[in-house]
Amino acid sequence: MVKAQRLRELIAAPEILVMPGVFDGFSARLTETSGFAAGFISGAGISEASLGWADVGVMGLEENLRVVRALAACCKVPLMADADTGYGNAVNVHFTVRGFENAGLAGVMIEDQLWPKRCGHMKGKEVITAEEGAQKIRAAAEARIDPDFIIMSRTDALATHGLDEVIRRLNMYSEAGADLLFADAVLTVDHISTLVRNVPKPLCINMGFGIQQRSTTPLLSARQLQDLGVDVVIYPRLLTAAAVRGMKNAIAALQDSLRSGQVVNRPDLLVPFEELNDLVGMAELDALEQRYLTAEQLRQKYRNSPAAATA
Amino acid sequence: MSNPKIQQMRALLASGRIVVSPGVYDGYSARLVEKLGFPAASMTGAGLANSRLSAPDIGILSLTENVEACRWISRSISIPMMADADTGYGNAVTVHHSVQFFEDAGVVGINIEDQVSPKRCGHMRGKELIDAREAAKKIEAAVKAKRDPGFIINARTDAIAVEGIDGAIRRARMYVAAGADMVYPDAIASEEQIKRFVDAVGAPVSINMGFGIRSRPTTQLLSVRRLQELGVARASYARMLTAAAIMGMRRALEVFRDTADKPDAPDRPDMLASIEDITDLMGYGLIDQLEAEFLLPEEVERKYGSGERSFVVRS
Repeated sequence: MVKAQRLRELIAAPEILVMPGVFDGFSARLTETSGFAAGFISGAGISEASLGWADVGVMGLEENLRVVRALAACCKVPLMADADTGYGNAVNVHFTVRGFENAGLAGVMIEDQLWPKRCGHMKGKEVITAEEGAQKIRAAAEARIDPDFIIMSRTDALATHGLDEVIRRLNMYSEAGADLLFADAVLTVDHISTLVRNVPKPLCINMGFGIQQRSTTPLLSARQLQDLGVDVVIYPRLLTAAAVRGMKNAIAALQDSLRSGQVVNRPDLLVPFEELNDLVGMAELDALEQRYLTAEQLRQKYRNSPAAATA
Repeated sequence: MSNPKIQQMRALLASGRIVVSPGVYDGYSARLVEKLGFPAASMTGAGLANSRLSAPDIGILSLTENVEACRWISRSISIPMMADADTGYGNAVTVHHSVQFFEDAGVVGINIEDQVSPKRCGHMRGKELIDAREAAKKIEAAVKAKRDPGFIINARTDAIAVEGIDGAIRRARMYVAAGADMVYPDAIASEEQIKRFVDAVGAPVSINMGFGIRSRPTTQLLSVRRLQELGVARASYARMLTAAAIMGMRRALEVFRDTADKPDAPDRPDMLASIEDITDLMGYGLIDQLEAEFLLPEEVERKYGSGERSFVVRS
């Protein structure tokens, strides 16, 4: 598939690949229209936005697939998905990888946490054995139909076993067929540079919020990560946190209006209707109507006004 | 099994005060509306189509996708939520099933509109209507399909753009006669039109105030106080939170993109919610409680060792 091949090229390119985390139609389309070359679908974002519940293994394979299929269908840029633990053992991983590949993704991430998993930056993580983790990656690599489909292996072992075990695991996962290696919740710059020197395949780092410090991984710029030798950086929390902040600001303004009884007009807090429509593809709809509706259908819909849905 | 939120919503509507009901479309927006003290929420079909399918609101979202989203989102909050059933996804026969599916999903009522399928956002051009008699029969089918008599059927008419305000009033009266609990004239233009509509229909009226804190070219922006004075029973703000989320994300992406080449990462807590904001909002506290209550001591020991027995790493 073209998108998987494209993603493979982007990972191999000398410049670091920057992937904002996406979780819904708005964030996916914004990432694309802002000029990013690829997006990383955040499992936490899907669970929280689509189901309304914390990222603690409430979401199942089918709920995840339903969302990522729609996002892949609307984006021209390649998207990677987050398959959590693969939703079972190595046998389940076979079907899970097939499911994501069929859904139009360019790659999938599988982690070595014990199910039910939790966000990598939370306390209380447990991991499966390194051997079982490697077998799951082998099952994933061999399940793909398109050899370009990216298998990204994530280890959560830093919190439970320390950096040496992370390096051992990432080497085992690489040997088992992973294309992209990822240690979640690394804690220092030194961790990152040690990893770069000791893993045999491209390395991905999670820079969380991207423009806000967090208490786990220190905030580094993409340039700094590239200088350290990192190949891919993802920002899974950037857009969920930005959306929540944007909504809180808007609700506060509405509450001001409720208290004062006066109209509040705050174009600085909301995008205009036109931008919203452009973002979600109304122009494409207008073009399709022009092309495929009969003259009679267009007359029925638009009477004398211009034949375009956006008012 | 009756849903206690239906009685909550009925009580709000009977209170004599306008029910302010922001539009929600995902877990974040729904939980924020609850957390910030609103008494009720309204699921926006446009928001669902845009965010879940990444598609425009032109009738691509199906009945089952809509119901599935409503089931998850209504389950994640304790305030009553109304749903948006578009055209009811077919004719009067389909409406019978649609109503029961939504009722099972835990919402307290639905909007059903009189557009021709495939429908489109009420504030777009190119709307078409079904015959008023057919629409009234769809409302009657909806009313008779309820299991809980308190379930709210909100009959939406899109007629203003097509037949004018008088046509919309004529239709709304037919829908009320067919048993609608509330009527909703979408894309109503002005204060004057709202007043005429409310005075003429003799039933609770719901008004879509769109963006709420930003004017739009279709409906005139009015304050809640003014809507209450006009006799409006419920105000929804279908586009406010999707537009706010996009603005928040757009700004963050701009900062992020424009600083990617800089040597230092920008730290902009003013632009993002914190991890504590997110975990508090999304119910991680419940997970801590459930673990404390139901995990075996050795499971807890394996997960946390001697550290604090709580998920969230606080800054």
